[in-house]
Amino acid sequence: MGPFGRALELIGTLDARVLEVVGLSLGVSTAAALLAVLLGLPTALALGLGRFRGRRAVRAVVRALMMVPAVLIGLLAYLVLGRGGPLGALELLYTPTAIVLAQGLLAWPLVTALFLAAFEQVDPLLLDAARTAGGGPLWVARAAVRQAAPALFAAGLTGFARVLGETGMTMMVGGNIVGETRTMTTAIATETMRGAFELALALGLVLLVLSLAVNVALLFLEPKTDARAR
Amino acid sequence: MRVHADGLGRTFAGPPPRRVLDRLSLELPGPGVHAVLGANGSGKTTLLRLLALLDAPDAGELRFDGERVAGPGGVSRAARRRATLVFDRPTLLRGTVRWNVEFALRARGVPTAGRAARLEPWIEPLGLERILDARVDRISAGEARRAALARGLALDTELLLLDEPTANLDPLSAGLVERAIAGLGARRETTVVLATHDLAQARRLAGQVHFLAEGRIAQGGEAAGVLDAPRSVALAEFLGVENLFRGTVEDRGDHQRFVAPGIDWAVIAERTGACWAGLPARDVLVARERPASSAMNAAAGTIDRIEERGPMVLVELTTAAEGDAGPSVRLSAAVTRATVQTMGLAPGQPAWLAWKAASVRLFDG
Repeated sequence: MGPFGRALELIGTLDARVLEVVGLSLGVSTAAALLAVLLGLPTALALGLGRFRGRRAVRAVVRALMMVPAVLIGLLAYLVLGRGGPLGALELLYTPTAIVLAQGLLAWPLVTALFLAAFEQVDPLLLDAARTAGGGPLWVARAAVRQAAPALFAAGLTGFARVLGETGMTMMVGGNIVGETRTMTTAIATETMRGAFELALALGLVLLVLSLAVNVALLFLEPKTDARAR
Repeated sequence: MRVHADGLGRTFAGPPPRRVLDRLSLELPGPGVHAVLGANGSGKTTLLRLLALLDAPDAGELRFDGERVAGPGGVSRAARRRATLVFDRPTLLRGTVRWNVEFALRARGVPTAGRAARLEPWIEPLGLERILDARVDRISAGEARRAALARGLALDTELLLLDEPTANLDPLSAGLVERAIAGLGARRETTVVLATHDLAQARRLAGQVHFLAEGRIAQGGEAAGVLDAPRSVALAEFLGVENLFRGTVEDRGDHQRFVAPGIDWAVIAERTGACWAGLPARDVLVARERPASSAMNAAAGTIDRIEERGPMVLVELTTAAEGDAGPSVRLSAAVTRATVQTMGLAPGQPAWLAWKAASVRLFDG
């Protein structure tokens, strides 16, 4: 049996190492995506619906942040969370929490930009309808979120896919500790370097299937052609 | 609620900038249906958005019951709750019709117990029984318009602004909507502003009519007074008064004449000077020979065109150019089909037109 066959066997027998790494990866990346959504939603609402000076400048900054290489965010997180850093006392470096924070920070600009695009698709008249109904800014925001819900969910899912595949930064702040902070991508990198291809391949296959699943989900979330009865 | 608008201005940024409202003043004395009449693009929606306090004017001010609620500095958010605007296209959020009404009532702070009672009175009059629990992407645009109107009515504000509420609705739906508005007008609790380009609708529903042209109210007042006696040429054109000419009224001692190139008509005027004259085509008689009648005005010419206009026929004639009287002009007369047949009127034939001095209406520019 070649490495590919053994990889399939590892998946088929629900190998404990595979399950552990996949479970940790999904948990950490889900939490990171939620963090990005939590930070991104108010940012995008303020930038998309608010009217204040410097709004365009902030939007440009958000777009620029999307281009920051993950490894730089990893470095920043390392310096902040590491011993001697401002948050060093919390001893978060090399914990799953550190990965969640760094990945959340990485996905934040991306998710925010996608949220902004989603709000831009909302008919402004719908928001005026919420205003003229007598609701304050909070109700206008609720109307926008409701109308953009599928696109917002797709944005969150895209953020999840982005951080699930992240490797270098995750290794920097997580430390790639077996059973603690080893995710699918860091495990694949380590196992490949060790020459242990069957586990790397098994995890690679799972990652591939997960990525495809996210893509299929996004496909279903795309706005359908208007089938309104006339 | 008494609404007083004074010198409202609103310009849309260009390029080129467009001044949609220009020193517009308007007084709505209180409850009842007030129509804002105007052509497409005359600024009706812009005015309604200002009255709804959704936008701030860049000049002038707006008062509700004497209290200043909007000016170039901004609008009063608190006063915004006294008004609501129903837009000229459906504005329903993802969800069912009922959910949308509930959402608006929740936004206004109506307690759960009171919400159903607010919607209930409008379900049957607006024919919403069947679609109340349908998702808004499963109902037609016309149904969505009625649902959005029900939402506006359920909010029960002192000032209700309706932007073309029956445009693009089938006759049955339009009838339901008009009846609901008429009922609201009869109760005399709500100040309803109805923006419409539909003359007949304004006549049917409104006690007061304000005609909007070139960014301001060209004429306003009791519906019959405005619609039957236009004082501005813009309103005359909108009302379909034919034969409009720019000229001068001259006093000839015992009577007045309206003079323009190719035109020298007897008119009844209380003033002299530059103005517009309009001659409704239905007030013009067609004859084969110079009519011997009490009409003080007559013109001979050749028929250019005969065109069906609903129950009437419009006969267009070019007058003969004669020496000092100047160039020829085109005039039209509205006659019945029977007249066209019995007289055997056809393009290319000579004919006479005649009309009374009292039929000529004079307007300001």
